[in-house]
Amino acid sequence: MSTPEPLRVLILGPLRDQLGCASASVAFPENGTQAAFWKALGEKFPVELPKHLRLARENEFLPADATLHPGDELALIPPVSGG
Amino acid sequence: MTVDILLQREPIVLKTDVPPEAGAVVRFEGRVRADEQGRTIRALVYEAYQPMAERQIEKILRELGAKHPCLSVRVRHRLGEVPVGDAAIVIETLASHRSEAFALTAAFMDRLKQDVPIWKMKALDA
Repeated sequence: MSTPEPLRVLILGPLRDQLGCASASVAFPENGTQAAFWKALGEKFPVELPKHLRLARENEFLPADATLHPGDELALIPPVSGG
Repeated sequence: MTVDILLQREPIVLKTDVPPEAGAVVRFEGRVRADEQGRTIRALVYEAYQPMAERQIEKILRELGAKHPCLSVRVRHRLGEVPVGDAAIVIETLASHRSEAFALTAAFMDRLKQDVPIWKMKALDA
């Protein structure tokens, strides 16, 4: 069976400075679950990530139960502070 | 309800032709304060994930407009370096009556601060 296409993750706002990169490729998590994604992300960036990070796809926040798809482009949204 | 959104690097200038059906014009300006967590600063630097920020602002306004019917809303948010005293955000809401305009404007600011991907990236010392 071929390996699923990895996820491309945009790293935004203050998180970009913290992690030192604007994007990352993350291996497609098991069953496309967000729980598996967060685990994979923590392994890729073994630092203390901010609490309350959110994931977005196609300019919309992902509901907690949404499944990820191979090759998805995701945005990693740290807590916002506009206005 | 018409919606007009712009994220911009230039100072915000909003001039409005108020239509005769508008009985209320509510304008909120969020300005950069000189004091940022005990430090005296000269500017804040803002950054947005622009396509998503614009999409979310429009979505929030549509949602709030269904609850608080208004005639129009214009939103401007600065990006990049915004000096102390300048408006980082301006919202101008026109409605037939004041209650809807106040309610939409206040609720929008609350939602912006929760759900719109715009960040204060740093404060520049005075």
